[in-house]
Amino acid sequence: MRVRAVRSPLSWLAAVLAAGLLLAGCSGPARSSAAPAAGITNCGVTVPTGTPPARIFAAFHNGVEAVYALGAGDRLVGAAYLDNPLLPDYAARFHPDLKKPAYYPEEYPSREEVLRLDPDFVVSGFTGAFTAEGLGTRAELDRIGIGSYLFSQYCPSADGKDQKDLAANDVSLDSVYGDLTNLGVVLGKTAEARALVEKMKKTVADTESKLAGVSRPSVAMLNRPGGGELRVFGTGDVATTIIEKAGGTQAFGDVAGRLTRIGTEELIKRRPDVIVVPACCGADVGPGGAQSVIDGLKSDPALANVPAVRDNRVYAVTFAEVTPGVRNADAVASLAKLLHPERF
Amino acid sequence: MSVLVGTQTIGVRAALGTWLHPDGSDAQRIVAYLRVPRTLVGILAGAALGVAGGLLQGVTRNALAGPEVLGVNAGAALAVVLGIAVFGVHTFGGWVWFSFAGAALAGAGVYTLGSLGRGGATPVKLALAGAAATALLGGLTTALTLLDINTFTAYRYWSVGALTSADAAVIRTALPFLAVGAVLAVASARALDAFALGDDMARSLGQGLAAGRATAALGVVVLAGTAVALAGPIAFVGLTVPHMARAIAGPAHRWLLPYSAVIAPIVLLAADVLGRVIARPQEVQAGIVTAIAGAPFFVALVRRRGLASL
Amino acid sequence: MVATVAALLVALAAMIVSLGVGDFPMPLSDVLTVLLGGQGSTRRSAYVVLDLRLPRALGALAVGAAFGLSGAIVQRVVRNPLASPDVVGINAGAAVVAVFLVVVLGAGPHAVALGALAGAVATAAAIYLLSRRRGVTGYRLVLVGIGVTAMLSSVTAYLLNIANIYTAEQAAIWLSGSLAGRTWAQVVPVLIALAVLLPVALRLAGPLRALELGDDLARALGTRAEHARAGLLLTAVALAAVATAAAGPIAFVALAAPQIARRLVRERGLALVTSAAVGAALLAVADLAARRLLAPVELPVGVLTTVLGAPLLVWLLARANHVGRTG
Repeated sequence: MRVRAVRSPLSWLAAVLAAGLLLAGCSGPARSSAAPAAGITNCGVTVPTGTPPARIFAAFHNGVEAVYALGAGDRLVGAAYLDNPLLPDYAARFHPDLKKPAYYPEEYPSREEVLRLDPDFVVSGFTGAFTAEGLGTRAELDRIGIGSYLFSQYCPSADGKDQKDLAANDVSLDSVYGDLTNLGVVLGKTAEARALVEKMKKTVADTESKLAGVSRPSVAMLNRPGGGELRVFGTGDVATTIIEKAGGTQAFGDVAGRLTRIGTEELIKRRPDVIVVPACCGADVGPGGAQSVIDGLKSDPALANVPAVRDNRVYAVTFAEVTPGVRNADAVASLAKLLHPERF
Repeated sequence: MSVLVGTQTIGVRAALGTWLHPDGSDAQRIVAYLRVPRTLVGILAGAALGVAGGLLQGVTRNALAGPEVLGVNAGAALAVVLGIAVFGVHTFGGWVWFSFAGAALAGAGVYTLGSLGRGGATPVKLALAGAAATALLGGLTTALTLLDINTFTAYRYWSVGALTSADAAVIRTALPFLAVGAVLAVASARALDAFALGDDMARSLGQGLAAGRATAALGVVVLAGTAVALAGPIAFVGLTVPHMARAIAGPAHRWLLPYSAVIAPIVLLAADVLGRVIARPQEVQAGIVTAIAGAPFFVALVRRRGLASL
Repeated sequence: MVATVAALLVALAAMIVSLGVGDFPMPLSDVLTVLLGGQGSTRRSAYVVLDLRLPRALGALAVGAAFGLSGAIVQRVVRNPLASPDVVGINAGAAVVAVFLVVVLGAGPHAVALGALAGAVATAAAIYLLSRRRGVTGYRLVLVGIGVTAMLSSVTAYLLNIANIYTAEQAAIWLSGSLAGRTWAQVVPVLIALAVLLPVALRLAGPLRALELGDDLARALGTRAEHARAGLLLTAVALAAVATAAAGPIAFVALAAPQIARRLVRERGLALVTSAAVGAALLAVADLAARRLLAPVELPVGVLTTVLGAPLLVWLLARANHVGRTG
């Protein structure tokens, strides 16, 4: 004890010094982030529009598909998380077996793993990629020379916050068009972006023209992961926009936010005319992935009086088409056919 | 109460109409297919836990014994998760066997550990051994569920002690097991009463004592195992209810056990109803409510004088 | 002394290995260059070493040391090897407030550290008052703590369950305690807390030695011992709180480190510094194992410490039972 009483302050001092040195070492060299002359603002972050990125890492299906749809697929070095299979056009160019791009199906690869791919740009379809648990905040990526883009419907309240802390976001299709246009500018694919948006707008306009004066059924879009509680898509999700454009009304029009848990009784109370179940999640999960949930809803005796169940109007779609991205226009068209088959 | 209160409140008359003049309305369907099964699960799991707690306290002559304190719930939970993750078991009929095995192994292990040394299984030693076992088993459960996302999804909802995951078929499967457990409990009540008088006294009253204790222990495993498989590891019902029952019915097991069987479902259903109303439109699972309400009771027990020379 | 140095060497070795291995391919020479202020051979070497690996490795050391020191203090003051902050619910108290702040109020790391501190102090006070009944006995304190832990953990589980509708998995990881993705913002408060509180603990430990000789003698020494006791407990609570805020309620380090330290140091002394060093070594090794054992899948380090630490608790109990000190 006596010995320690003498030594410990010294050993402590050494520890403090060591810690101090380490701290100084890490905060010392101020990293220069090139201040761009031109840029677009995305979720409060300025994304430079000078030299287009050459090595892109894309997270989630909507991020991956946007890169392909804009014609920058050859620059994709890594991809993570597909919630559904890629659209056939893109799947033909997607070669995870050859590591072109390197693909991570289950979870975020570690930050070191992503850095190993040496990307200079990250496109993400969801907020979680840009958090401390994901690939790092966007400011942090910027510091090491990696630009980033996030679909603006999932802008967090501040950089680094995750999906549960979303800002008040515009869930209209115009916001999707704006994102694709902006991403086109950043990737140096302005013309491709313009053509893509024109095509999407035309698909939606054609659909709407066929739905003039139609009576609008109420539509609930929901899922039931693990057979547990129901999760409904609320007005804070592009799903609501797709329902409305396809000639329906959102059955949970008073439920804000993206996804909300509800009990079975709440669904009975709402009496939706149509229930839509987006299949999720995996690169091999097509619309058939929703079948077990649909069967569960149809065979639940408690739901037998709900119009959607009674009239056998429970449909499967893919999760990919109801999240902001290049599939949204086609999603409007196909949902419209399910809601109003007589018009097509 | 449990049948009437929910996201929407249904009147007594309307609820009774479900059986008197069924019309297939939404209200009646909610009663018949959602609230009644949920209530039944609450009654069955609650009664099973209450009786299991009463038996356990009798077998161990220990006021702090309860399935959750002895790590029995945690053992059953780990075994079920193993069943899901390793053997791909996804039905109640399959879970229940894993649940039994886990409950038995954990209970036996904790009891052995707690009875080492002088004085046998004192309340303090048992509670500490149970806490250690719960920590270990809980850690293993977490590791298993984190390594496999599908197991995690299935386990997560069940693990918080929700009464909503069971349907009529599951309840039908559980009934025979619970009946066996009840028979074992009744059969062992006499032996437990004799045992309560002390080892010497009990021995002089005759043989069959060891058999009686073994019967009671088996009863604990069957009842707690079934309850956990049915509703997840619900905390503090098995510990606290026998004490309430003892306050009303006195220490004799032939009264204590039936009272526990009646009081426990009331407690669990009250917790479930409370959970339904306090966070509308979302729900707080019953297991969380019982843990929050039951822990202070546990603390009060520990504070009680004469429990053991604490 | 030898034991302390040995433990520090183990910790240091684990830290060096942690800095050297990872998914980003990098020669060891790069790690050294960067640590000495250079840039390394690739444009990302410096970032990988200084911003990814170093905070995590140093975080493991600091959090482990904080838990080890905290456990040593509480175990000695209460004079019961089971009374460590993780067993009696102090970590759970810190966790519940930290989770509330993050989940409900969206608070940043500094507010979370302060909140965790408040939660831990309040919980410790509650446990202390609840176990008082003509004096506090070690075992009643432990049992009350177990009850309080059960209650607080279920509140935390509920908060995480409602909040993380998308990623409940993250919630489970946080609840186990993890050092993954820790940045300087989380690590620095722990380092500061250690820098301030270790000297405080050592200063107060003088009177504590009198406590070792039994309450009678300590009482004879007067109120100074009482104050030292209170001050030490507060120090221990603060250490546990800050460590929990940074890494989640990692179990059993606070329990195990002092026990190991006591066996390394023959003398029945306080072994505060040794406990801190052992805690640092334990967590550094455990986190390295958690990172690489099942690579590319990572386990939260808390799961590993639980699975390794719970048998230790069992063994301690079995031993105590044999000696006949429990119950």
